[in-house]
Amino acid sequence: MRAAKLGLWLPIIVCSLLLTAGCHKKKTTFTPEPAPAAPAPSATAPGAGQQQQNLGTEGFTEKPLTANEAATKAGPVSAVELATALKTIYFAYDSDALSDQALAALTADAGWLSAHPDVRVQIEGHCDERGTVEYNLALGERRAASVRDHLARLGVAAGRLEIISYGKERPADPGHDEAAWSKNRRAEFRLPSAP
Amino acid sequence: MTTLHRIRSRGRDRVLVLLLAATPIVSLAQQPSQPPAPQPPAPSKPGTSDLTGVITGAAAAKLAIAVPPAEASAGVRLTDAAEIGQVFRDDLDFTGWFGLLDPQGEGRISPDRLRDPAAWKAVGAMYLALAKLSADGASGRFRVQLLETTKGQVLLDRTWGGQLSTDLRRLAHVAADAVVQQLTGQPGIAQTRIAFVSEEGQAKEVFLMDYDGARVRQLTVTHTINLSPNWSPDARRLAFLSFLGRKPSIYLLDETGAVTTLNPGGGDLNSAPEFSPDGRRLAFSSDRDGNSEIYLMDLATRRETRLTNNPAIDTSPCWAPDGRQIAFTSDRSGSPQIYIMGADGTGVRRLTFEGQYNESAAWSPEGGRIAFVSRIEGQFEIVVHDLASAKETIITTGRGDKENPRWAPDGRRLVFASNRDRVWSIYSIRDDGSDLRRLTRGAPAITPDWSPVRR
Repeated sequence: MRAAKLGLWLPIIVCSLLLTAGCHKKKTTFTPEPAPAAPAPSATAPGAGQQQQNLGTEGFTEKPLTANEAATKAGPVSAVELATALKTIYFAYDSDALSDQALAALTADAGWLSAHPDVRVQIEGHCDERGTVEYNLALGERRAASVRDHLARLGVAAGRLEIISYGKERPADPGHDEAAWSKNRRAEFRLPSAP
Repeated sequence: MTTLHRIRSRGRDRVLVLLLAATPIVSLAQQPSQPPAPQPPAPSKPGTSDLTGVITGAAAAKLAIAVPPAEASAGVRLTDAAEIGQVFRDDLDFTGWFGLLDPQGEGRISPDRLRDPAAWKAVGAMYLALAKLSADGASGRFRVQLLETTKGQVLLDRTWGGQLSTDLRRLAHVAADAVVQQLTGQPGIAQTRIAFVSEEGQAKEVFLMDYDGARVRQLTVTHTINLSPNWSPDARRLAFLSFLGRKPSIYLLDETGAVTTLNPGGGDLNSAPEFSPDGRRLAFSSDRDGNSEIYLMDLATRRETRLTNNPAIDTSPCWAPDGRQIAFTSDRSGSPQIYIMGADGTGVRRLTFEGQYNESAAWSPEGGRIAFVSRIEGQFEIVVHDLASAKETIITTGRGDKENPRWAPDGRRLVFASNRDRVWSIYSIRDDGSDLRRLTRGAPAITPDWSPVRR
């Protein structure tokens, strides 16, 4: 099923990669908004003292950019296996410090990663909803980096560990109380997206 | 009360709104071709002796203006005339400059005298704005005559053309800006737009709407997360953060639809883009050197300069309007606080000391104020810091968090995101905390940025 879907999306994925591969000013599906045609002159002769000015284009066409998220690459383990094997790490508010509980979980995670040397993982840093979008992006990055750095200290090759921050944009629990927030301040392990 | 003395010109204050060749059309009335421009209202005299008691309260400090319903020429649908007239009126109201009289003449003007300046003077109006929509097939012409009511002198008489089916709101906005320019000497903001991010299923896409929340249109369909759109100073490009690639990074979208990947050199997170006031550089945050620091990119050469060097989080850069300083957020003190540095990274000083979470600085267009988000008793509010006096004013109240303040180009309003009505939405508020308006409904909407006046 995944393969069929992938085939369908392949042209779009290629477009998307072109867009994201550092190319400069790629042409996209946008077309300029046609400038409104000037109204025909009135049947009556133009009078003095009045000028009509026509609205020009205001840019930003409503035809949207189309792209597709990167496909997930098949690897030596499935996403489900990975999610089951590696424990999610939780954090205190506005902190990237690793608690004793987090350190214990990471010791177990490092053990699993050592037993699966061909697995690369992406560490996702997340935040709860309190605080701003941009600061939480930076905080999520710091949480993910904190986990990566500790796993590296435990002997996992840093080259196997990617990090990404979603800030507060992908909460695990959509609630608005401490019970939800404590689940959302986290670092989770995923398979890396395809290059 | 509005304090006019805070408002200063941004220098290039001509509003060039119309791009196509002007097409002269017939003038139906005998009006002076070049009406004299009146002086802007004197800032020190907000009260006006002309008033007869019709305008009361806050409106008494404003310019009393009458905007009777727009006239419809033969062949114009009455609903079109009503719509354009209402948008024009709403635009003038939105500015906060004017006290608008009841369009029917406060019940004291007979319907056949609603276009008579003397009748309006008698009920307290200083100005009378007469609007008329006429049609020629699918094309519409919107004419606005602005008169002062004492002598009936015409201050402005202009006509704009566009398509009836699509341009009614824009025509009203152009006319309203012309009236504002004429009466205040300040560029109007009715043609400005607000970029923001809204949820589309699991994705967050970049959207655009008019400054009043109308005409929402989607700019990206990426099926991923996009955040923090930021306008270029010419209002023709948007920088934004996107998860389109493998890592969240910064992209430029220009109004022709061309997308540029800035792809700043590496790192796992490049975020918080903000154009310099001259449009030549982009300030942003990147973790390429190990943790979040502020960088500048020269957009022509792609050369990058690192401005901060601190193991703490440094993010959310924000330019002073003169381009000489940058405000940003750092948690180097142990909690996120606003700092200011020179645009070369030197002379860092801390701006905020109240509270444990101050973030998302936005420098006002005239340069004297910085708005930011502050956590106050567990709730996030918008605070305006006056740089001269260091006085801080909390301009938001009520339930819910408020985030991401950004200034209107005239410095009189701000836009921000809040969940005060449960779903995250975009709101607009006067800089003194009055006149809160909700701009979006429906899908959650965040990270607004108010466009400059397009030149």
